[in-house]
Amino acid sequence: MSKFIFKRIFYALITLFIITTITFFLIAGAPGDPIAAKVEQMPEAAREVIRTKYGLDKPIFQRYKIYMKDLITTGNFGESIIYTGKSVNDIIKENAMISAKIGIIALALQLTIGVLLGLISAFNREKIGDNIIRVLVVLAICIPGFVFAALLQYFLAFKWKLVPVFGWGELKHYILPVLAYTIGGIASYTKYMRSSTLSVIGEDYILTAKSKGCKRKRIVKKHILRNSIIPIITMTGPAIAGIFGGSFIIERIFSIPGLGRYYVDAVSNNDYTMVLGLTIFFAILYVISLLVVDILYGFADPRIRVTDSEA
Amino acid sequence: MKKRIIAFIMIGVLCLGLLSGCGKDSPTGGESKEGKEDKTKKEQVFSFSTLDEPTGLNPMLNTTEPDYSVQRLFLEGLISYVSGEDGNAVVKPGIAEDWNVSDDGTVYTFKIREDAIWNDDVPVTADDFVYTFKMMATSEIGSTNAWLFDDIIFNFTEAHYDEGKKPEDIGVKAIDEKTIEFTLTKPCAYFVQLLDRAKPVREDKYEEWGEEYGSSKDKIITNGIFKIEEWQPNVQMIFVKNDKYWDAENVKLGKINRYIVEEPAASIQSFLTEKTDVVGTSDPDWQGEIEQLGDKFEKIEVVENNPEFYGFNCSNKYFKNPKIRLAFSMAIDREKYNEELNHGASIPIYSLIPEVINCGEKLYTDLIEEDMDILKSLQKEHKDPKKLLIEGLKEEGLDPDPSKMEIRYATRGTAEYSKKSAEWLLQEWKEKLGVNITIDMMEWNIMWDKVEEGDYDICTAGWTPDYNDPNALLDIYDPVKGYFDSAKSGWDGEDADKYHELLEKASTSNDDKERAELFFEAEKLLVGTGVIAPTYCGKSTAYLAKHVKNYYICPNAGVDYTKIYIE
Repeated sequence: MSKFIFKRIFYALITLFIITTITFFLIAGAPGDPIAAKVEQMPEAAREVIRTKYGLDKPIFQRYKIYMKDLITTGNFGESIIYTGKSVNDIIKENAMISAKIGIIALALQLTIGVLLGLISAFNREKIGDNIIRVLVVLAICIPGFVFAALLQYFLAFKWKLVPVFGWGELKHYILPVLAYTIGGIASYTKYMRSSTLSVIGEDYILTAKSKGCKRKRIVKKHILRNSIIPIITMTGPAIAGIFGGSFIIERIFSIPGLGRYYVDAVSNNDYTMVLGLTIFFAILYVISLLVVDILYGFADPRIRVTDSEA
Repeated sequence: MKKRIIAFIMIGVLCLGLLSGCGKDSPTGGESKEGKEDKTKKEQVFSFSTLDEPTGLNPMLNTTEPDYSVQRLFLEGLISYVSGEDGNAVVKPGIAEDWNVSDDGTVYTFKIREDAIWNDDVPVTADDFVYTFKMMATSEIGSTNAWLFDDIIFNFTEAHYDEGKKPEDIGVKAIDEKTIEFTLTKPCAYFVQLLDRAKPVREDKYEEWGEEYGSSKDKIITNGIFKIEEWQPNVQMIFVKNDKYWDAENVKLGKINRYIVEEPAASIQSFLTEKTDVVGTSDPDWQGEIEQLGDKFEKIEVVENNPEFYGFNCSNKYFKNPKIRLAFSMAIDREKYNEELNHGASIPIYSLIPEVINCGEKLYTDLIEEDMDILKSLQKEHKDPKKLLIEGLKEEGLDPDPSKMEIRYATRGTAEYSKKSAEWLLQEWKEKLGVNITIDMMEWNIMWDKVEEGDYDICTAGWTPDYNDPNALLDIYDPVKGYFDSAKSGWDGEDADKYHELLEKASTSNDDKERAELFFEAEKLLVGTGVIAPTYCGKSTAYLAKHVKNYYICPNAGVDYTKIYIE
């Protein structure tokens, strides 16, 4: 197992290196530069002075060398070019947790409610409960999250004044964004859980278990749930990584100061250090979450448990 | 089984912990905030929401529009440039109580108030400003507002670009602790208003904090109307009255809440639920929604100062001929454009300088007696632009059939508006001139790159003047040193030389009337020979809660927060 993890970490590092390199050259090659975002209409000579300050006048390979050396030796993503005096590391530290708080609550709700509804729906196949759930699921999947968000905001906050329209910092500010995040997620987890449960129910080993006189409760827990949850675990991996990124649109609608906004702004402003720092951060999260999923598989399904021979 | 129950309990506890963690973040705990807000409404609190977070509070490095608007709340320069009651920008004494100008207009002496102090009780001195300007002129600092003073302050350009002078050599000197003297290279009518853009930094703190100056609430010192009570990036900034401000007794507002709300619907909904006191919107649906609520709000309409125009590449085989350029410019029905594309929410323009621009203390339009709608009178003179176009084509020895012309039009962006206006333009020119243009849809930065290389026929442009003077707009087409110099605009020859001369002459003059006339001559050359085709000027609409008094806005200067009060 440890050999497997080491190998995985090694691959992950190579992946990160490639991602960093590609992002570096892509963003440096994109039209425009961060100076234009600072002052749009500046004489060329004045622009050059500022470019020199940030080392942007140097050839691109030299800039790449400097950046990589700093990154590897100090682990620093550098300072934002737009938000002067602020290090990218600090911005990540301050804002990733904000997105994460909403994301974790939403993911927990999505998983529990989604799995539960999926099971209910599957066990009541073609009955009234199943039909209602299926209609709702289709609706929730078709309507994008930001539409829900806007509707929730309009009715709950603006018309009925139950919660604030926007804001951040207090418990009541969590309600709308969590709801908006959760609805779509519940629907897709329900959908996958239902179909995977149905396919498991039809398996021969369930029939065998039944004919052996196994109790229904035990069949559901030991045989059905365990097998049908595998696709959900696959989906959870990227979802965990997504927690920190947040949803830019929902954050925007409710004015939540998450990382999503910084990321989008950084790209449109060509804030090189920020784009690179955030990309590497998200890449690390993604790679870790995939690793976690691999390990989780082993718990859910011994058949795909990693053996030393495989590693 | 037991294990599971314990696991569930643990998950529950974790979730609760997470939630209570959120509560602690709030600096003003729970419900008490709402209650406090209601009470303080009468206690002079002004709240508004805005789109953007400032990029920082360092007045030399953070100079975007949101930065300026925040910095003016807690930093004061020698003067303040603010919106007056009539909607015109006015210069108000700031940290300087008084100033003199030498007869030739090149030496300015400012007297700093005795009672002006920083929030740590250190007096504001002439040295603070000398230090600020010296730092701006240091190229390693990379100041983003320094270029505004290029060619204006003596030796500034040379120091800024390392051309043989040191920052110590610039024409900014402290005569004594409270007197500062600026030496200019030539008279500059807008020098005093420019000083609003040079808010001071203090030497001892700058040396201590370096680049981090202004990056957080604890790393800034203030000398202005308010002080920063709280700064939650991308959420809100809260300002409270600074009792040490020299004019504190005349400041009525006790608190300002500046919220960041990006989503237009959210900002209007929070205005309608009275969380904020002012909101701007150009969306007719929301305007209707607000207006149907009756007379709780006051509608404020402001003409913007940034003209939109099309630029012709004068080195093009067609557009080197003024008649052809002019035909294209005159063929555009600006009233129709305003109605069909901007839903009437803009002002059609027939010359470049918007009506809100000053020339010295008076409005530019008030100083000129002639008819200033250059294109309107030309349109009357030449009823049929197509005739003029064919004339031009013949002069150039080209095929006089307009339908055979090959012209590319570069859009500034690929969004819906750019697409619609490009198609509208294609239709308009086809109808009136019989020309079939090709539309090149491109992102704005790509368009600017193409302009830079001179690789365009017609481009879409707009310009926001950096200061309130016709020169700020006319200067961009200066064939020698403008943003659209000869290399980019392709404009050279006799007219271009004369244009440059007129601007040079205006820049050395000390008399506003004379300057205005010179500028108008230049404008006639630029617009009257069709180097550019000005189209419209934006108009912004805002709604203000009726209980807010003395709130004035104009596009050229900031809000005067010393005057506002809540009734």
